[in-house]
Amino acid sequence: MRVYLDNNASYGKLPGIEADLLEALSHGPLYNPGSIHSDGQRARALVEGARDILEELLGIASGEARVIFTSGATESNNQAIFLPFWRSLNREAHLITTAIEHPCILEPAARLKSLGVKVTKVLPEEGRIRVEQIINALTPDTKLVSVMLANNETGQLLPVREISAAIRERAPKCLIHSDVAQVVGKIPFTFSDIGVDMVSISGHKFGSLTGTGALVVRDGIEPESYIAGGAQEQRWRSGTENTAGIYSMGLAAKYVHTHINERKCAMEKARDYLKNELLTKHPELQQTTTDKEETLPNTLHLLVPSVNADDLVVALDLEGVSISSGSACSSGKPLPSQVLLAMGYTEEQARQAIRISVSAEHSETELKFAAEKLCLCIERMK
Amino acid sequence: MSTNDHVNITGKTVVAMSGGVDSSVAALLLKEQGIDAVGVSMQVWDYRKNGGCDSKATCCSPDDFTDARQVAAGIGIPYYVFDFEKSFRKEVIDNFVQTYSIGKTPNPCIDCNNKVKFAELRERAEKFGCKAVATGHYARIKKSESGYHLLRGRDSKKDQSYFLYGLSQEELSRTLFPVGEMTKEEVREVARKYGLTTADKAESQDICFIPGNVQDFLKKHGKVDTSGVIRTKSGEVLGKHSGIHNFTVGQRKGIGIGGQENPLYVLSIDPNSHDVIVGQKEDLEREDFTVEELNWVSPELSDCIGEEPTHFEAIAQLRHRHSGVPVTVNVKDGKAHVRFSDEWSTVSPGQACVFYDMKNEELLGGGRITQSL
Repeated sequence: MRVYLDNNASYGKLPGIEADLLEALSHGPLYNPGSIHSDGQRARALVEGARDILEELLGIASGEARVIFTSGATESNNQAIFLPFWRSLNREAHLITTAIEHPCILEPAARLKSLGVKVTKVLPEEGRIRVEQIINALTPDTKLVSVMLANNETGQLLPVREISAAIRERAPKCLIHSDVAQVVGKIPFTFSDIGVDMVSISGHKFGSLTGTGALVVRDGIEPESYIAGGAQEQRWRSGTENTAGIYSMGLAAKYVHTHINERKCAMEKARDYLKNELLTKHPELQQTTTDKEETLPNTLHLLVPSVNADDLVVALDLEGVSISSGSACSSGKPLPSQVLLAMGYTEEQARQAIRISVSAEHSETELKFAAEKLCLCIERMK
Repeated sequence: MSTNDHVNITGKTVVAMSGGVDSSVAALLLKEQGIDAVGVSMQVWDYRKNGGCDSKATCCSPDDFTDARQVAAGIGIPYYVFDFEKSFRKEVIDNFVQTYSIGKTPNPCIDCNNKVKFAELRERAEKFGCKAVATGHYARIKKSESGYHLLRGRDSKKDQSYFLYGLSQEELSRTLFPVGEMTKEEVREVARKYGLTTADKAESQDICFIPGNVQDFLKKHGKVDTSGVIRTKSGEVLGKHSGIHNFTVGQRKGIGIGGQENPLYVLSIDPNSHDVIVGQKEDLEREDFTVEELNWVSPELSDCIGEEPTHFEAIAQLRHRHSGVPVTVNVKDGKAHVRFSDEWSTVSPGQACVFYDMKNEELLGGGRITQSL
């Protein structure tokens, strides 16, 4: 038996999409949606159908924002970070983000910094990013604020709605972006709920094929083609659309949108079962979020004292359970979790963190098996 | 051509993969024999932080791991990279720098095998429920009624048993050398036949963690200045040198003193004054020397060597790629007093002396040369 508990890395099931995807592919190739002929038009219909579903999923009203398809959240985040600085790269321009963002925010930010842009990376205080910290960092030159809606490692939610409202009052011209990749399909929310100008989403985080994502941009923002070429996606993103991927993302979006509330409950139930089993048998485990705060319903982030998390991940893999550690593995060398370091944990602790991220589709047998193996391996690694 | 008869394999086996062809084929052979193999690479050194991985001589660099990962994926076994940097620094690097600073010649490959590969990796493997560890070493293990015997690799040109004298009977009982019965060319042929990406990869050479020269490395790693003079036994100063780590007892080439009637050899190195003492070849000649930090591998010796003095004849290999010379060995109080039987060979303090049986086939044990008497 194998149990996949790494759904924040890539969602482990393709709920309700296989049949439709295979059906679409059974009619032959998915042609170029940009072609004039009817073959191309069929591809276009699939892409536009997916766009409609994503707008529905994110509650986007007509004329409010547009969905730009990309290759994933990394591309969307890169594009969002570079957008306000693209044309007028000057030393006065200022970017605010947080130190617990995904590398696909932090690395473009570092690149802008090397080009002379002022960058403020807000560090969590007592483990959390507070609205006032972002507001205090604002300057008249702040062009963009980017704050993720949920952290991919800890699962903690960030107060993006409150941050947006406060920025609007003080700096109405400042653009606001949020990486919402971890939230789509897990917690219901709409684009207007969080009040930002741009969000990045990733298809495979909620069950589509990999290589698909979107940048949602409020109407009125001038297009800037991060990838130059044939001016597809309303001049926002050149390159022939990934028709099959986009179609699969539409199917997945439709599925999670229809079942969002029951999915959230199923995830919470599975996570809480594992949490109770683990914390009962191993009271030494420490959660990095508190039960009082709002977190992703599927994420359990734990420090396992005196155990190297990467070793634990391997031991569990060999026992048939897939989880992850917070470590970034760039070119083979595991580094301690940068998120935990930013949150003030020691390097030793940042190497002891495991992330268990459940799906909405686990059977009781699976969860029981996983709990047993988790306890067994933690015991063995001590 | 099974090389695993000595191990009763149940469960999973860790195979150490460096990204080279030998360990790639080792992994492949295990898989072919139906063994549940788990590929593991050991991250021992941060090449980027410590000066480049441009050198083709290295192993265990990020590029090598890419190769190892590709091979593991191709043959269908799980693969992981483990961080062994801390123990590698402590057991190998620190010792390397320290040994040079006292005028001796370190052997980092032996430290790496004894203290990192076979100690830490095994410990890690056990945590993962893996009973046995396999490597791509050219060496063989045979089981008899008395225990486990470590033999030279079938390919005498590639034999690596010299580096493995630190293994215990217990370790041998759970160690596999899948390519030990093969020649290097056979290994490459297998790799080519299966289309492994590492089939024609160049051999790793020299010391894996030093892409450039030793002197730069030592300078960077906190080694103090050990420059001094080159002199004869009688005190005649012939020149200066930039550091004692450039010299090994018995060395002839690269001493940097010209115009002598006969070639000069390094006779000894004074770690305090940093003097390098040179002389003629016959000045190096000696009848005996001492070996410490002993480990007895062969079941007969590991059983019988204890309090009582022991005496036996053996072939002593005094460095890698040394064919070995006959010696008599007297073991007493944890030290081996070794006497050359007929021909003598240069002896470099710090290097390993490894004893083989008189057929020069079975590894009996070994230790570190402490002094030439």
